[in-house]
Amino acid sequence: MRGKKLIVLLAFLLPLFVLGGCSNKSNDSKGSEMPTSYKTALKEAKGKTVTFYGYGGSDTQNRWVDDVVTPMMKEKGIKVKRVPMNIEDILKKLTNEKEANKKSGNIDVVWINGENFLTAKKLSLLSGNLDNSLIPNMKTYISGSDPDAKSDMGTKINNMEVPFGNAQLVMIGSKQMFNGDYPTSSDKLLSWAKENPGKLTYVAPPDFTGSAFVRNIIYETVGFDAINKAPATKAGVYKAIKPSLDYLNELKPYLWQEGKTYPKTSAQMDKMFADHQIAMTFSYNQMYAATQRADGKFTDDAHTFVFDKGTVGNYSYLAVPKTSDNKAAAAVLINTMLSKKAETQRLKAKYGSAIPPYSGSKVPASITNDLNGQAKENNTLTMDELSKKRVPEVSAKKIPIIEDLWKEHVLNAD
Amino acid sequence: MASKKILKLLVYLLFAVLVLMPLFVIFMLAISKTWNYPSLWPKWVDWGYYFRFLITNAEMQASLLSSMELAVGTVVLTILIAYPTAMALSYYDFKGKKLLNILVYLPMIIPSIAVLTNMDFIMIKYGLNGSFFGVVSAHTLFCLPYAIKLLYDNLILWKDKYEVTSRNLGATPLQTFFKVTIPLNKNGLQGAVMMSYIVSMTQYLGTLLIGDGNYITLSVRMFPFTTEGKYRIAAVYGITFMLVTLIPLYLIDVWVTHKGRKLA
Repeated sequence: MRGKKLIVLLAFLLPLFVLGGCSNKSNDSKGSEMPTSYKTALKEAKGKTVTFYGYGGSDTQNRWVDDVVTPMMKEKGIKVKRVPMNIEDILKKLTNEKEANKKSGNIDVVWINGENFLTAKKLSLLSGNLDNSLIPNMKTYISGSDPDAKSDMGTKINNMEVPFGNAQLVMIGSKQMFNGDYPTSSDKLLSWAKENPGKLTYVAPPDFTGSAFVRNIIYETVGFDAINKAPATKAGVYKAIKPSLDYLNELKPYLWQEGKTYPKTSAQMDKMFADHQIAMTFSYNQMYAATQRADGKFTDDAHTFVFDKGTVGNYSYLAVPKTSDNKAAAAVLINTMLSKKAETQRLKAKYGSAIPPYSGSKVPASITNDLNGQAKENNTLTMDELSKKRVPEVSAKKIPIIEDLWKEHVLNAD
Repeated sequence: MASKKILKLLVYLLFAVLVLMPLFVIFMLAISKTWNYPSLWPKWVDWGYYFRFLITNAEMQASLLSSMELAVGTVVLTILIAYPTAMALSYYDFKGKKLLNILVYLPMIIPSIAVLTNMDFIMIKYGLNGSFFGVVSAHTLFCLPYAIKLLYDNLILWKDKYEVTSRNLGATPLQTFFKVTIPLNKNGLQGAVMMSYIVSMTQYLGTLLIGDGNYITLSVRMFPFTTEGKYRIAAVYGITFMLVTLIPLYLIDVWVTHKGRKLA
């Protein structure tokens, strides 16, 4: 009987022994060092596999990484592994690794911006030194004085990020429902809504595009300066954007479902727009209407426009976590993604016609021409029109505050 | 009599509408090119799309393989843990039985995000993150409540009466287990295996967090497409997902019933 009890006890303890045995393996290897120049990075990176962690829901961007960037890296002797993972989960993973005191990890390059960058920087999860000497294409195509290269929604970049995506909110309206007369200001939007109740809506923040639309309304009603200068506290932001919240509340009863509910995702809103239940949808891609038309999702009357006073534009970036095992290969991947060759391919419709993250003055003429040609062909906005109608983002700290205030004073009013 | 029949028919019909309609929509999405409200049927149907996507997409094949690998591993580990636990819970009275009964359900009660984040932390501490065993044990955690409950409900029917008889007649413990316990308990076992397989196949966050990017399963690939509204791609993944889940389930079912008949 006693022998049996001992065996039971051992059986219970066995997993602990197994785990204990494994624990020796961790914590011994240190994350690699960031190389100091591109040349040494190239040399060090040969034969390595670099991982790219980022949002996996955009099939055009996935395809671009797989079909264009990966073969370019292969020529340099480096393998690329793309892992589709939402940025919140990536940060969770990195935080866990940090708390467990793990010095090296599998995540080499992440796709990040705004609030998430602020969080990552606060927790010091990212490594710095992503500068011109390490990323030569940054020197060629991105000017040091470009505000978007210096700060990411109000957070100083300090060489922790490299521009990757250039996005600007555009409105897509149904020509038939608007009769060709698009609401290019918040006033026009409100009066159209009053005449055509139930035909407009927006995605509920904190959805990416829904939140951008609310910020755009803030710019329309109180102007960028008012929100930019407001202190980043709830009371301060509320005081500044009170007229905007009033505007949204005035609009509310004329929205779809009388503003009692809002679409949860932009996918849902796009579907409603495609079905002509609503007259307008939004996108962060100026070619979105064209690609959706080509796909047969939107009908031919989908037309792209922007507000006269401009729409929110923002950048997304690439960063390298401190724990990356492969910082040399990460630097090579970032430089390759930023190259003219890769970005020129990215202009193709099948890769989402993405605008390069280059600074305005440094965009190669061939790329501008290509984009303008596509714009003409698809009857959408040219680069020049877009950049003239671009307004900067508010500080990342204020975005969650605005989203909270919207929930409190618009969604849950009355 | 007739009214009873009609009622029965109605119930079947309701069931068919509730279960088969969504399946049908997913199927149509995978083969349709344009399908807009308010048209009832897609305007444009392309049967080849599904197969082209499946054959030309190397990623999909790789994720299929890693999904299956993890699912099989999870089923084995789950049954290894769940069977003794269910037997202990149904056959014996011991101190802390009630507590164990509650503990079994904990993975379902605590929000999975909290469980997974902490599990990830522990896995990193012990160097198990990214390993096959690490991911499989994360999946197993979520399979255990189902597996134990299914086995327990089945085992409690006869308790250990037949096992005692078998031992009395001179059978060894192993003989008793394989010739008496398992055949009597085959329904429970079948349910537990199927449920673990399905739960493992549908794990998303656990696979990503603990897998360290080494296991890009079908659900990991599918999830971003559904949230982005790429319903067509998601539907293709969805159908493949159903096929690889249903076919093994059917095979297990055939195997178990066949075995049962031979014994009877």
